[in-house]
Amino acid sequence: MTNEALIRDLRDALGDAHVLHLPEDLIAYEYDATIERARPDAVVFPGSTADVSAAVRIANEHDVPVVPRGSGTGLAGGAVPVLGGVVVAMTRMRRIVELNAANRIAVVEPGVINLDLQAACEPHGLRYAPDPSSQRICTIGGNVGTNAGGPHTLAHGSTVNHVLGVEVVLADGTATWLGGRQADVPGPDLRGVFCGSEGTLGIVTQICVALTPLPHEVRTMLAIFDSVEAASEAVSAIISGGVVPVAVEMLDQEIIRIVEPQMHVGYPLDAGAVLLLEVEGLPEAVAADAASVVAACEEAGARELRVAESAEEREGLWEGRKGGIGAIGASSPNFYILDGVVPRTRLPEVMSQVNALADEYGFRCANIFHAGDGNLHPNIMFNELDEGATERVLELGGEIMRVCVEAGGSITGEHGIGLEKRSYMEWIFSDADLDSMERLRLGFGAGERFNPCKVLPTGHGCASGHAAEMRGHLATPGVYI
Amino acid sequence: MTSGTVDLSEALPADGRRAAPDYPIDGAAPQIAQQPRTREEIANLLASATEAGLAVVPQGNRTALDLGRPIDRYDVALDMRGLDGIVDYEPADMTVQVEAGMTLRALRAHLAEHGQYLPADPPPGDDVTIGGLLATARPGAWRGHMPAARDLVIGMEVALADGSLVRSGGRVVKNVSGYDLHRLHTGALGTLGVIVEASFKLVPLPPATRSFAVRRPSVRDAARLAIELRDAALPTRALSVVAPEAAARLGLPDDAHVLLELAGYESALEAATSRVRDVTEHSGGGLDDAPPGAWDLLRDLAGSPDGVVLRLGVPATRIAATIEAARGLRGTAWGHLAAGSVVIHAPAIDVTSVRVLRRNVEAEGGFLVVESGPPALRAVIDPLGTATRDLVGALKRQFDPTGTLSPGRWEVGL
Amino acid sequence: MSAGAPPEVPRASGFQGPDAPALSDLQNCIHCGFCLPACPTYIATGQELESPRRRLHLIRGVVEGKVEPTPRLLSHLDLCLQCRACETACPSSVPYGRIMEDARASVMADSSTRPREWATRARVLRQVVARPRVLRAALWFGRVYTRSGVQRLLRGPLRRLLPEPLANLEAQAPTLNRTPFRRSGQLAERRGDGPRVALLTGCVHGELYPQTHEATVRVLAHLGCEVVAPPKQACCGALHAHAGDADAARRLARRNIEAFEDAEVDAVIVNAAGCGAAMKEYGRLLRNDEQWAERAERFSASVRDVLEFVASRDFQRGLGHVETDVTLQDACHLAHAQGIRKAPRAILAAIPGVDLREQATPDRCCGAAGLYSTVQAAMSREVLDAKLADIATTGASTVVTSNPGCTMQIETGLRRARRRGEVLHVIELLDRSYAAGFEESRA
Repeated sequence: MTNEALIRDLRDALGDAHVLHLPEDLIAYEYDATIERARPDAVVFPGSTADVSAAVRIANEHDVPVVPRGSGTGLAGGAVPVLGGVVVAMTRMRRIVELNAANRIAVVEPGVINLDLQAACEPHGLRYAPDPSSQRICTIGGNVGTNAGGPHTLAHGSTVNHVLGVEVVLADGTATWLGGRQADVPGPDLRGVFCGSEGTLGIVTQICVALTPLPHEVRTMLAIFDSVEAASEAVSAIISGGVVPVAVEMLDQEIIRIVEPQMHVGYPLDAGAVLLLEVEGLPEAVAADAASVVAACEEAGARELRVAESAEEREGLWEGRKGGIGAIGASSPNFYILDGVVPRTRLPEVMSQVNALADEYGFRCANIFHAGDGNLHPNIMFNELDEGATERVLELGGEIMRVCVEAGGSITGEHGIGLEKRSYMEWIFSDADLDSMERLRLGFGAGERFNPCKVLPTGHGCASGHAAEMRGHLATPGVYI
Repeated sequence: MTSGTVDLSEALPADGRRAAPDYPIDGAAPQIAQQPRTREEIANLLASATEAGLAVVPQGNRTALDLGRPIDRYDVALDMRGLDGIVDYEPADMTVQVEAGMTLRALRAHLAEHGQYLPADPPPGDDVTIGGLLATARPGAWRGHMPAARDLVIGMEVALADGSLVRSGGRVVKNVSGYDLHRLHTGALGTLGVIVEASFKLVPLPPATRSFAVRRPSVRDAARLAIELRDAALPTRALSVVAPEAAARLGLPDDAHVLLELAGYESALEAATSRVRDVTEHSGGGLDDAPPGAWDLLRDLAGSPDGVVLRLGVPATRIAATIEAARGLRGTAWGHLAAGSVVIHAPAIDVTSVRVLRRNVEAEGGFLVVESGPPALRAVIDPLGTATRDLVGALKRQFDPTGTLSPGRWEVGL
Repeated sequence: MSAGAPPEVPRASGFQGPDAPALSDLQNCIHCGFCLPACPTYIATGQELESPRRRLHLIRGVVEGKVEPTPRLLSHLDLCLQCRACETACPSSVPYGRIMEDARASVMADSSTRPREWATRARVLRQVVARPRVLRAALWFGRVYTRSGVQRLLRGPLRRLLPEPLANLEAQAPTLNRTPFRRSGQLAERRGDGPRVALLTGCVHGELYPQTHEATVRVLAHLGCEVVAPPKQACCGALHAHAGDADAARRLARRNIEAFEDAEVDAVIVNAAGCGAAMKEYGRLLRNDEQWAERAERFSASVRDVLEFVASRDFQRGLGHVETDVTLQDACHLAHAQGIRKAPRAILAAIPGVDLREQATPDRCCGAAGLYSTVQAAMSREVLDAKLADIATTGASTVVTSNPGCTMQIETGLRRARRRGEVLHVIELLDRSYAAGFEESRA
C-alpha cells in the first residue's frame, strides 16, 4: 500500500513521535469548526520550516495533497482534508521568535495563539490589532490563511493590514519570504495576495507582524433600540457623521433573548436590537467621538444609552457579544452560522429579508454581527434529528447568501470560502475572474497540491456545482456551526 | 495600421490615437500611442497587441516610469487617462469605485465634498492616477499612521494581456471571497495586467491638522526624539526625521529636524500639542510650527525626476544611521518613522555605493529600491529582492505568457 | 490513499444501557475549539488528539455507531483528567463531565469492551476505598512506615539508595504522622441560633489529613454551628463514578443519602471539592432510580462546600493576623464543577496579613485528579510540573487549596523538586486566623 510508504517516509523525516497514522488518531483531524468531515492519511507535526519542507517534498513524491492546519477553528471547512493526504498541523511551531518593541514588530511561528501574542505585546504598551472572536485558541498562521477579521476590523483592518511578511513553503518544498520586516517591499504584493489564500498557495512557517500602540483610552457604549431598522440607521448615521468607531456590533432581539437569560449582561429583553459601540484614542478625542456617537444614536431613536464606567463594566458589555454564539449552541441542538457582507447602507432591508426568509422556512434566526462593516452573521437554529431539517437549513443559507450578493455584497466577510462556499463563488465571479484566480494558483506552482477543492469551485477530483456540493453536505450530517 | 499579419486598426480607434513622441520612456518613443475611452477598448488593444507580439506599457500621468528596470521593448503606449470617472460613490458606505485614469487630485476633490478621503500621499504628488497609485504603491509620509492604498483597496478590475477583463474583491469593506488579486496587481507596475478600475474603503477627513518642526543638533538626536513622539501614541498622521540638507530645502534652518503632523478634532489637537510640547521640552525644546508646504516640498523632492531617488526599508531604530550613510554620499535624505522608510535624493550615486547601501539594509532585514535614476543604474540594480524573483517570473508567465506588458521591468526574463 | 472519509457503515451504538451518553448533551458541542486552550492535556501535547473537542467527537462517534470503542480509542478517553476546565471555557454549556462519566460507565458496563486496567481500577476502588476497614489497614502500613523513621531516612540521607522508579512512587506517598480523624456523632455544639450541619468525613481524607477536618469543625463551631458526623456515612463515590463504576457510585450514594437524612441537618458540609461535586450530582446519578431520584435531588440541594458555606455566613468576626504570602490553587471540582471561585478568595482577602498572590492560571489542574496521578503517572507529572512552575512565579511560600487530592499532589511535587512550601486547605488558614484572633483578644 502506498500509504505505508508515505508514512514510513514521513516518520523517517520528522520522527515517529510527530506523525500520526492510525485510524483512531486520524479521526481527530477529520473536522474543524464546521459540518465537514474527511479523514487524512497522515498528520504531521513539524517543528521547523525544514520539517515542513520535508513533509511537502514527501507528499510530492507520493502525489498526495497537503492540508495545513492550525487549531481547527475555521468556519468554512478550510482545514478539512477532503481528498485525504497529509495534514500539516502547525501546533508545535508556537514560538514567539522576536518581539521588537522599539521597531514595533513581532516575528512569530504560525502555531502561536492570537491571544498569547496579545498578552506578550501588552507589557510593551503594544497590541496586535486583529482580534477574531476565537482569539483565545485560533493561531496566527490560521489568521493569515483566512485573513481573519474580528469586531475591531472596522477601524483597524483585517489580518492582511497587519502582516508585514510571511515565510512560506511552496509546492516544491522551498521556503521563501513574501514581504519582509518593513512595509511596502517592492514588486507585486505577494504577501498581500497570500493572506486569505486559505492554505492553497503554500504553508506559512513564520510571520512578521506590525504592532500598534495601545490606546490611551477606550470607551464602550451600549445603545438600545426598538428595532433592527432603527439600529441600522444609527450605524449609518454614526459613520457618515465622520466618526469611525473601532467597533460597532449589533445583537437583534432573538439573540438578546438567548443571551440575557444565560449571561445576565443587562440587555433589555424587550429591545428590538442593541448596538455595542467602542471608540478609542486620546481622552479628548474619545470624548468628542463618543458625543457624536451618542447624538447619532439618539437621532436614530435610541431608547437608552449606557456607557461603561470601568474596565469591569466594559468587559461586562462585551461578554454578551463574545459569548453570544456559544449561547445559541446551548439553547438550540444545532445551528448554522452564516457570514455575508453587504454595503452598510443596505443593512436595514437585507436584515428584514433575512428574517422573512427564515420565517418562510420556519426556522429561528438570531443575528449577532459586525454591523459597522455590514458583515452579517445570521445563525439559523435547528435540530438535525428533525426530518429534512438539514437540507432546508442549507437551502435557506444559500438563499440568504443570494440576498447579500444581490444587495451588492459578498458571500464571506471573514470566515473564508473553504469548502463551504466554493459553489457560491460563481454567483459573484465570472469564469474569466475564476480563471485568473486559477492562474495565481498555478503561478505559485501550487496546482492542487495544497488544500485541494478549497476556494475555487473546480478542481480535479472535487465535485463541482452547487447540487453536488449540497449532496456533499448531506452525506455528512454532524455538528453544525 | 498593421503589424505583421495582425490588423490592429480595429483595436486602435482613430479618436484615441495620440502622438507617439509625447510618450518617451528612457528616451525612446513607442510606435503607437493610444488613449482608450472604455475598458473594452483597452481589452481589445491588449488582445491584439498580444497576438501581434507587441510590447505595451500602460501609463497614467507618467510620474513614476523610472520604477523597475528599463523595459526591453516598447511598441505601444497605453495612456490610461481616458478612463477617469467615478463609477459609484456612496458616501454613507464610505466606499468608492473609480476608474484607473482619474487623478488622485480629482478624486480627492470629489470625496472632500462629503468629508472623506483616500489617505495616500505618494511622492510625485496628487497628479498620480489611481491606477498609477496602486501599480507603483509608493509610500508617503502618512504611511503607517494611516492605512495605505494597498490596505484600502477592496476590489479591482484588471485587463489581462489576453484581452480578458477580470475582477477580484468587491465593493464591501470586509470581504474574503476568492484570492485578493487586487493585492497582486498592487506594486506590480502593470506587468501582470492593466488596472482599469479600483474600489476603495475611505476614511473621514480629519477636522483639523497641525504641523510642527523640531530642531535638533544631530540626525541621531532627531531620530531619538521622533521615537519618543511615536511612543506618546498621539493622533499622528506623519512623523519624519529630516537631515539638515533636506531641512534647508523645506525652508528650515540647516539642521536636523523632526517633522510632525497631527490630525483630528481641534480639542484633541490642543491636548496632543501640549503633550508634544512636554516631550520636546524634556529633551531640549525647539518646537515650532512647520513651514507652510513642508510636506508637499518633501513629496516633490521624493518625486523628483532628476538625479537618483532611492527608497530604503529600514527599522525605526536604523533610520538615523541610514540617513547618515546617505549624507556620506552627498544625498538629501529623510525618514518616515512609522513606515520604516528612508528616502534619499542625490544628483548622482554610483552603482557600487547603491550596492553597499543595499547590502547594509538587507543585513537588517530591509530592502532598497531605485525609484528614479538613469537607465544604466536601474539596469543593474535588481528591482526585486532575489527571494521572490522566481515567483514573480512564474506569475508573469501565467498572467502574461507572451510578455506583452512592460517586458523586462523585473529582469525576470521569459 | 483514501478519498476523504471512508464510507461509514452504520452499526449499533457502541454505548448501550441507561448510562449511555445522551445525544442531546453531545449535540451542544459546536466544535468551536474554545476548550482547547483550557485543557491541560492539550496544553501538554499541543495535539487535537488529547483535547476535549476530540474526546466528545469520539464519544459521539461511538454513540452513533460510527467508530468502535477500541482499546486505543479508550486510552485517549482515559487520558482525560476530568478536571472539567473545558466546561468553564465552553461557550455552549456542553456538560462534558457527565458525558465523560457516562461514557466511562458505558464502557465498564460492557464486558466486551472493558479494558482490563479499568476493571482492576474499579475493583481496587470497590474493595479498598469503599471499605473503611480495609482502607485503614492499608494506611496502617503507611503510618508505620512514616513513624518508623524509614521514610524520613529515605527522603533524606538515604535518598540515593532507592532506584528511580521506586523513589518516584515513594515520593507520592503522604507523610502519615498524625492521628487519623475517625470521630462521629456530635462534633460541636450549637451556639445561639446557628444551623445544624453534618460533615462528610469521607474515606481517605480523615486518614491522610485529619487536621483539615479538625480545622473545619473548629471553624464551623466558631460560626455557631452544631456539627455532626453521621456514623453510617460512607465514601462519596466520586472516584468510582469517574472510573466508570456507576453501580458502586450509586450504592455509596444511597448509603450516604440515608445516613445524612437520618441526621436531619440544615446543610451537608463537604471540605473536599471532589466529594462535594459528586454529592451535588447524586440527583443525576440516581435519576433512573424511581425510589431514590427525588430523595437524591433533595439531598444534593443540601450539599455545600465548606468554603461556600463559610463565605455565605458572617465569618469576619474574630479574625486575627496570619502573616503569610499564599497562592490559591482552585480545586478543579470546586471552580469548574461547582463554579465556586469567589468564596475562597473572599475568605483569604478577609484574613489580616494574608497576601494572596494569584497564579497565571490558578484554575488549571495540578494533575492529581483522583487516581489519575497513579494510572497516568507521566501525564500527571507533566501537568504537575507546569503547575509548580506557575506556583513558583508567584513567590508565595504557602499553597492553599480545597481538596485533599490537590494537597497531596502539590506536596509531592514540592518534595520531588526539593522545594520548601506548606500546602494547606483554605479552611486551615482560616482556623489559624481565628486562633490568632483569640490570642489577640486575650492580649
